[in-house]
Amino acid sequence: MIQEDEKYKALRDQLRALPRVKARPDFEQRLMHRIREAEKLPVNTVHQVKHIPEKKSWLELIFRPAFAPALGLTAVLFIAVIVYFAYFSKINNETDRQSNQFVSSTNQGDLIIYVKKEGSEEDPGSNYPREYSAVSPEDSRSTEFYSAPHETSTDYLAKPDPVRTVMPEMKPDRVSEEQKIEMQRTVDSDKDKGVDVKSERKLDDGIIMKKESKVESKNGEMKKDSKEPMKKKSDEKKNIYINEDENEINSEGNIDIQQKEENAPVDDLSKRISRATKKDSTKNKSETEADENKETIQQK
Amino acid sequence: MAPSKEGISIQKQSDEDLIFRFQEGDINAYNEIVARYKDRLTNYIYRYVGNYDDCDDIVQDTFVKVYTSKHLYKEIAKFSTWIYTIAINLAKTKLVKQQKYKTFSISDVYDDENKDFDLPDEGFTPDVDANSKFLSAHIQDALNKINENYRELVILRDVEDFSYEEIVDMTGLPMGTVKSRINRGREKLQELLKDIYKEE
Repeated sequence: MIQEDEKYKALRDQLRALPRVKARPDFEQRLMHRIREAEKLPVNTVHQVKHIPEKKSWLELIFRPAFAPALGLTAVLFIAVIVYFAYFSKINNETDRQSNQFVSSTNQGDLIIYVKKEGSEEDPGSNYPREYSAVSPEDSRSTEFYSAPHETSTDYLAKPDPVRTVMPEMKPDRVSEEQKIEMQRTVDSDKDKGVDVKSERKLDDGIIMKKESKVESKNGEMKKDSKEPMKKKSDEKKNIYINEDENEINSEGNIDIQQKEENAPVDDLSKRISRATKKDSTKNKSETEADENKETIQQK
Repeated sequence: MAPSKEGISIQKQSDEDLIFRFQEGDINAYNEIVARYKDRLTNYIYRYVGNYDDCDDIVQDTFVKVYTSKHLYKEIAKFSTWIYTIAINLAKTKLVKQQKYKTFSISDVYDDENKDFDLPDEGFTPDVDANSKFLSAHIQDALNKINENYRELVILRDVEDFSYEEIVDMTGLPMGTVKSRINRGREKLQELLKDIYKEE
């Protein structure tokens, strides 16, 4: 500090050499006059007017010009949300209806065909297999069944196009001719053995019905696959029953009977009648006795 | 010269004792304070403002402020520091009002001290000595040309001969700022008064 002061020593001397300015001679009198004036004035001479903001209503506070852009944006967003939910609620209703179709079509006995749509993976609906029923609505047991075999487009609100209806395609048999011949042989052999092959499949007016009975047609597999214990030949005779509607005798024991008939076509009629009478054991004794009398008369 | 209560004359008492006596209601102590500081404050304010009428008003306002706010002084600083602080603040306020309603200094805008401006001639110079009239007027013009912040500190240090610590207490500025501003003010003044030094 001292070095700096000495550096400007000449300047400092000039400034110190300046003549001292004195106050005016009447300085004290004027000062006393001003002090007396200041004492006469009350302390709170200046009215401090507080700036009280005017109370505005809440409408004026909200709908200010400064809030116009924000209010406009809010209104647009509100309308957009309403439109969005109103639009997609319809879509949700449509999807719910389709899901109801799935549930109603899963009745027992109906053939369900899953058709996977070959669409783009971007479509979220394409990931789900479509479930249709091959059974016509009239044949369905459920009254809520809808005819659904329509290929839905990506436009969910579009009406179904009847032209684009997808019919369930039956894949051709992949069985070769040799296998068919072999199968035919096995069927013939089964026929020779007396296995009921006709009941394996039944087609009625092109509609695929449920298989009613499962009978393996291979040689010797029937007895092996059947879970029921093998019956003795003596018991087979007792299990013979007569189908009254078709006038046929169907039983496991018929196989032996047919073989015997073929080997010995001329059998004793009386034996056959007696067997028949034994078979018809459910009839009343009076009726059997009457029948026997008739037969004896006829023989005589 | 009324003797004080303790038997010591008022003239021998310190400034702090006087203000304490004035706080107790002794009007003579206040008169003694006015007598001690009226010329010092007038000289300082005149060098700072450059106008004697404004200087007289500011000094009068300073003493009125001391009279009305005597209870605000506390013995944490020197009385001279307190009364100079009041005077400086009033002078700054006066200058701000003048710049706002009358004139404005282009040097404040561009901060270019090398440019010469014609200051308004107030027509009154309190200098008595005719020989030093031109020199003092020239120095006063140079003081008025430099920045107010520099001018204030240079006057306090080189004209009123306050110490750096007292200046720090008066202005409330850091010591480094005070020193740098004083040095910059001196440099500016030296440039403005270099023709005087050549003549010498």
